[in-house]
Amino acid sequence: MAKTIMIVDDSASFRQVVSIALKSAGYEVLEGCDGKDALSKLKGQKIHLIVSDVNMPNMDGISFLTAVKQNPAYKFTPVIMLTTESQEDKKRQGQAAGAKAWLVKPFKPELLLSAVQKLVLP
Amino acid sequence: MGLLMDTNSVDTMPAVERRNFGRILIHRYLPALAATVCAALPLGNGVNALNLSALIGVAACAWWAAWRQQQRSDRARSRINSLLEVSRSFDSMAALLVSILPVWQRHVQSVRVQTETAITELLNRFSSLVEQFQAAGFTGRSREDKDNMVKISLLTLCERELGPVIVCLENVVGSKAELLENVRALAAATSELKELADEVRSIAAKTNLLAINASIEAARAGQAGRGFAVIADEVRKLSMLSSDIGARITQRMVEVSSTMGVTLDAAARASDEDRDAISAATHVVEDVLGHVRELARSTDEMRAQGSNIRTDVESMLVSLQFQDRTRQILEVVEMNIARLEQAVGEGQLPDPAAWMQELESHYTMDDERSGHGDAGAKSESDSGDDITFF
Repeated sequence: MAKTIMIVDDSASFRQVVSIALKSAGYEVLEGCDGKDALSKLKGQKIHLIVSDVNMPNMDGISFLTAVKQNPAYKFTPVIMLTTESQEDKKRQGQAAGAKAWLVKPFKPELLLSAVQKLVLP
Repeated sequence: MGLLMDTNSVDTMPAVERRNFGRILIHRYLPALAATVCAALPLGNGVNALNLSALIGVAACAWWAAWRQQQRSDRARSRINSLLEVSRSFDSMAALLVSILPVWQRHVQSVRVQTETAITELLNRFSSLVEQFQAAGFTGRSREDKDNMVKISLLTLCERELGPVIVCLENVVGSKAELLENVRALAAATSELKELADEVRSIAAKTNLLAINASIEAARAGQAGRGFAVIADEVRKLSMLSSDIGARITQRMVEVSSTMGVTLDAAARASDEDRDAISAATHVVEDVLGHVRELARSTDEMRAQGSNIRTDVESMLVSLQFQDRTRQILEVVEMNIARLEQAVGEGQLPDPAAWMQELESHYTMDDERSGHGDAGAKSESDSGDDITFF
């Protein structure tokens, strides 16, 4: 059965690009346009991995990540932060909130896919 | 004639005025006092109605003339103050725009370069795709079997869908050039604003000196009346110059304000066009991937060709991400333009250093931070191989 990955990004075109890359490798995709939207869509869904942006309206990626980790159902769901932010202090914030990897945009599809393969739980 | 021809700057004018204040006061009110005393002399021989009314008449006339002179002087001072206020407000605006415009310009330039690089890459990949399809043997138009249905679909993709996508992508580059042109126009309008502010300051300084001179000459009207003619002439010239400059200021302000509006529209349009183009291009990429899946089920040669196409598509997926970066840069610039437009409208111009610091706090990318400084924006986006595992 195909694994499901949630993409959280406020740019529709960027979600589409990530979605193409993931679907071409056989993953199913669920999308959220910001942290708040993603949290509402997570409810009851079996998610194997989350790919989230950092800077988003309504709820940013770090707050979203913190909220996800506080939910027992998704406590162990790996999260990859995919963002234009490359500053160390932001990365440290992501790590402290529970992110497993930090990938800087623009990303190479093979790099994202290798990280996804490494982190997706069986 | 004793005219003060010193062309001191605005800052030193109060000192000049203070030095002459006592002198002006004596010259202005002394004749009135003298006339009153003279008119009072006949009262020594006895007070009668005629002497008393003569005294009242002369004193009233003398003091009225001195009071009028004071009024004229106050009006001149008030006009100078308003000119100085305009000059200060222009100085603040010019200083702010001089700091901020090069940053906007570098950001928009960075967006333009990134867009052009990505679009060129996309166009190259699209044309490479067409070649790959042709090399895979998709040139026929027959409907005899399933493979040929794939061929027709691919040809449709190439002929009907790629054309509009390419036009869209070209528009994207055009919209960035338009945006850059608008920011440049703002910079040109600003440099003239600065010149106008200097002229206003110079007029204020000259008017102030003339007001002081007029006060002195008024007191000496009897002995050096010619001074008035010179002053009157100068005042006329200044009056013409200040009304001309007033018109130019108004026109320039209208231009700055309208160019800011146009720049905002252009930035919004550029973002819309980016989004449309990317949406169209992504749609094509999805179609291509669908066909690649078909190819995987075909012969070995076609499968190999499909693998080449997949490589092209992966490169396109990297190029397609430019919109996410340029959107973020443009959003920050747009927000800053709108904020400045509002500040100008409310007449509340903040300190340039504080403004720049506030702008910098919105940056998320190295490109933006680089564009903020003097080093100039990077010509290309960062490579996408920065990954950190925790």
